[in-house]
Amino acid sequence: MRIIAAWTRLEYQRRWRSLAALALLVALATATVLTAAAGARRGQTAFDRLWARTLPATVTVLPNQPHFDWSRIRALPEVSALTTFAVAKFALDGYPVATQNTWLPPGDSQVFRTIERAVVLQGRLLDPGRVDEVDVTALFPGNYGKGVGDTLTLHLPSLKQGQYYDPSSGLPPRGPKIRVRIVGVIRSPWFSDSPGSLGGVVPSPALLTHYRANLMGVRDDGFINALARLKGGSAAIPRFRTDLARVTGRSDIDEWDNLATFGDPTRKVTGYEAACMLAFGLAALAAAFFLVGQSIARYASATVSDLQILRAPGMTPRQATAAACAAPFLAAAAGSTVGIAGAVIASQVMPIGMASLLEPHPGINADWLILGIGWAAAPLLVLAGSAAAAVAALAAGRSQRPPRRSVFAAAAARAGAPVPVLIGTRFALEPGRGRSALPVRPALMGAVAGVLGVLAAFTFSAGVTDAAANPARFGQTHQLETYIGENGQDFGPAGPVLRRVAASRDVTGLDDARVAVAQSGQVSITTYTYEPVGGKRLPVVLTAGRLPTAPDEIVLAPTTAGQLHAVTGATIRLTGGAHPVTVRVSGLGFVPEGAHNEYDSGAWVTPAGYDRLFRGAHYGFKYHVALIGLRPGTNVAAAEHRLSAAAASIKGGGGVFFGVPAPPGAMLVVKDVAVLPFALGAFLVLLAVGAVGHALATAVHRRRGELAILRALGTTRLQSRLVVVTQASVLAAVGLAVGVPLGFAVGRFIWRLVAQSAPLAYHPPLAVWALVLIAPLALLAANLLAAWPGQRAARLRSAQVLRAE
Amino acid sequence: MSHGTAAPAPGRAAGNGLPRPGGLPASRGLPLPGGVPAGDGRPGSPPPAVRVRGVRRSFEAEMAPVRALRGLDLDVAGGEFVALMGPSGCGKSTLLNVIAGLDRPDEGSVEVAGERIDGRDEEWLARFRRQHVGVIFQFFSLLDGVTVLDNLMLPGILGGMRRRAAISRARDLLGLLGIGEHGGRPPSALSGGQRQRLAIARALVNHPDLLLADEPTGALDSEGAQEVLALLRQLHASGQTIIMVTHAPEVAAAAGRIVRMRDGRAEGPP
Repeated sequence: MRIIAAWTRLEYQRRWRSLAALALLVALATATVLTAAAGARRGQTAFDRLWARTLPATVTVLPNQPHFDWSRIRALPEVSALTTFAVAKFALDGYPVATQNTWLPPGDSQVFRTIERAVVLQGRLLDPGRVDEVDVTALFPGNYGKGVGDTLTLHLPSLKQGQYYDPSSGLPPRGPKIRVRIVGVIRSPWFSDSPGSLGGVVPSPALLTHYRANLMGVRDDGFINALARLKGGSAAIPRFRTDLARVTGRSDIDEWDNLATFGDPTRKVTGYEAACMLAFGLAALAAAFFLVGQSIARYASATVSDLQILRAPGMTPRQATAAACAAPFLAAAAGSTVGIAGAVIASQVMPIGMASLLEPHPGINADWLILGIGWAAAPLLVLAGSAAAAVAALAAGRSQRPPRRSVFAAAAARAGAPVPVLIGTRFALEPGRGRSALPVRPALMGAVAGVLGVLAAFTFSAGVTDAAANPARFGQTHQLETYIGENGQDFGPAGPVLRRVAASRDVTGLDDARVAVAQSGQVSITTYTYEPVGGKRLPVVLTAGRLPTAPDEIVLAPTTAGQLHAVTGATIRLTGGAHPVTVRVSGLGFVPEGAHNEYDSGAWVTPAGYDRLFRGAHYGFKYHVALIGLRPGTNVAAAEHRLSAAAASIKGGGGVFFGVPAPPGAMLVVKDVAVLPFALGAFLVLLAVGAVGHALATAVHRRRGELAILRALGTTRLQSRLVVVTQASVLAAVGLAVGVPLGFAVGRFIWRLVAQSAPLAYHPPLAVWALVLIAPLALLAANLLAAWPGQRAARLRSAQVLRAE
Repeated sequence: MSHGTAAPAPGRAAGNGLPRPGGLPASRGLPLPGGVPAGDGRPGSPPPAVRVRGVRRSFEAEMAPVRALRGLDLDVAGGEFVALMGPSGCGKSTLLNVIAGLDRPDEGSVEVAGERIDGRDEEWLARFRRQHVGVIFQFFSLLDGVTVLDNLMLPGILGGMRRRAAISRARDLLGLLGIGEHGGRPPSALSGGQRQRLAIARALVNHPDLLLADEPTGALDSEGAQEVLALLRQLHASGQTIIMVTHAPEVAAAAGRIVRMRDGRAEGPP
């Protein structure tokens, strides 16, 4: 032990720069990997932790029926709490109307008390008795510039506009204006933001109490729906459905299992985000293994080379190994400690994406399980790596085998390459022997890892960018849509309007879709009819099979198919109307994202299939929508205007307004994690630059004897510099030759995995600019890194070096 | 065997010479205990310090294996100063490495200080060297990145001394060998002769029974060579057993016995 302590003390005196650089590398790697791992864990559990804290609603009950009596539902034995809300909208004065998100006004004071008891992120919960208090969701202050203590003006619809007012039409309300004060920023499963939203305002129940006519219509025939919390949770839903049908006489009331409807898709998204973050962390860990590992290998090799001198005075191999490991281990322990601190500070930006909108405890969070494991593991890994490198170096030192020669260096010699190029190639590819020996594989692997990682990151990012910019990857092939009916009633002459629209040259596809919800066990399936108008077929993105052609056929969206464990060719039993029917799955494909379904949940049927399924239902349809595909290159806003004019030219068609569909939530989630590949790429570039630069500097130092001999034989300063430039260029060339094809393949493979899990339609990504630029940039970076070591090589005092050698 | 002090072991010649500027101590007989009683192999006499029998050693090379030692026999009595002489490539350095335990013979037996060292593992050989063998190399084999003092301190700690005792022993040796004022400098700042004296001092830190010198004057000028040879003679005079490898007859003449080697074998009786 004394010899190890003595040697370690000497190492810190003479090689403190190398050890400090190692500590910094370990700190950077530890902070990055642990931030990602802890962030992944935090993101994965965000929804469940929020759910556990907030007395969330078990079901959302949507009778959409005027004058619905909720007292009978409240009295059901399985209901532990129930709160109502009005299906009515209002606007915020002074902000663009079309993009606002205001919550449906609560109907009673149970909300925030016995159900959906929100987490307060700032301020406090509003007083349900005060009209002039509102809470907002977390994204609101940043996007609207208004926080706790600031005032807003709520603009209500007029009595004439009533419950039909919709701010997304872009038209302003014309009712009373109410000045309110923001008293809190809140979050609960129901009152939470979603990717792409700007944040929303939650008004007090007193708003509905005081302005009921504006919100519910003068005849008070607006809809009051409800959130219910059930004793027994989701397991009580079947009984609740039965009791609901019994007390209301309706079997077609839409009920959402909130955990399945919101929680499962949310968990899927947060799980995807967590998986991305974890993948980032693992990739960073792999990169750190290579790049930090090569620094450790070089350090251990150089140390062992010195320690071999102590073999004669009696240093045993075990002592040499331990002495070679001690200083790096201590440096890694210091680096790991700094890394932990960095990870704790960086936890402020975690979790990412949708999970950040659900996190009940935002801000700094120390996940001591992850941090503790990382704090212990990093120095131990460095210890293991140093020991392995030291043992290998000791064995190589004792080996009687002749030094390994590079076939490329030999080929360069045969080809008559200039001496500096020969020597530089040897420096890059041959470890040498004796005291100037230096492992070269770690530097080569580091160069490969750097190029591979960057290209994989950019290729993956190309997939993300493509998906984030192409709704069609998520099955959204229509550019305009319009609601032409609700609850079995069309707003106008749907048929003539749609035929006039289909006749437009702008329109290449038009689907006349009736939408209703069928059930298969616990699974709700939002079902769309596929009914082209005027022969203009809207493309449907299928992942298997074909569209239905018969009344007993159905296409299921991927997530619905997964929930039902159904594949193409399977038969399933569905209930939509008076009697259940059996249908055969003709294919799997994406559906339009609607008010009550995601793009990956739902189904397509033929019009005859729809009629068969929903025969005897209370309403002929829940929604009647038209989905319009436009000719590529068409100006969407102009087409929207033309089609609205075309619809208005039909008598009664003036109330049909076309709108651009909101992008699927998943698109926004994909966009949210788009930063990860770039972050990983930047991390890999940083590590690769540090490690390759260190390799070049170490080579000049360790092989100064060879350089001095070359100078004595007549090479010039420029030629000495060229040796280092050649070494750097060879490292870059090897990195490119191996890293480019591997990185391309790895990036595509990982994107394919993501596409399968998202799900979305896989489109092979191609990072054109990355492929074009990586070679010149890698060579440029390598040569820039070679500048300082090249300078040192050029200024070598050969006489002094030869004397000392 | 005593450690950490400059006091001579019982029975050794004492020395109190003061260092001359730039040179070696004037007095003979440095207080450097070491060596085993002389022996000449005759019945009743102590065993030789070194006994080598039938040692063979070959190395792999790019073109063909190199047979460095081809069944060599050698005896070195305690207190002897033996020079191994021969042309380049005859196996002198290989033999020295085998005796030091730095290399292992393919065949044959090697005894040092009464212990068989062939067939031992690396750990055992290293521990054996600490206590019994000091090695001096042609090109000094010093640690350039540490000071002169640290170059001597480390072997002392290896030998079991505490840090302070090792530093004290190092300072004493540096002073005795006339390079005491260079303790804080790196070896590269010393002349060739000074560096070799440092290497000799390092070999003597743990009072070895046997001192092995591989071409100790090969990298020195004539003045430095004379300094080193004089030092080796002084050590021999105080009872140190020394085996020296050289190809130069004038260097070999400093030894008490010359063993000529050719083609991996020793000429004459062991």
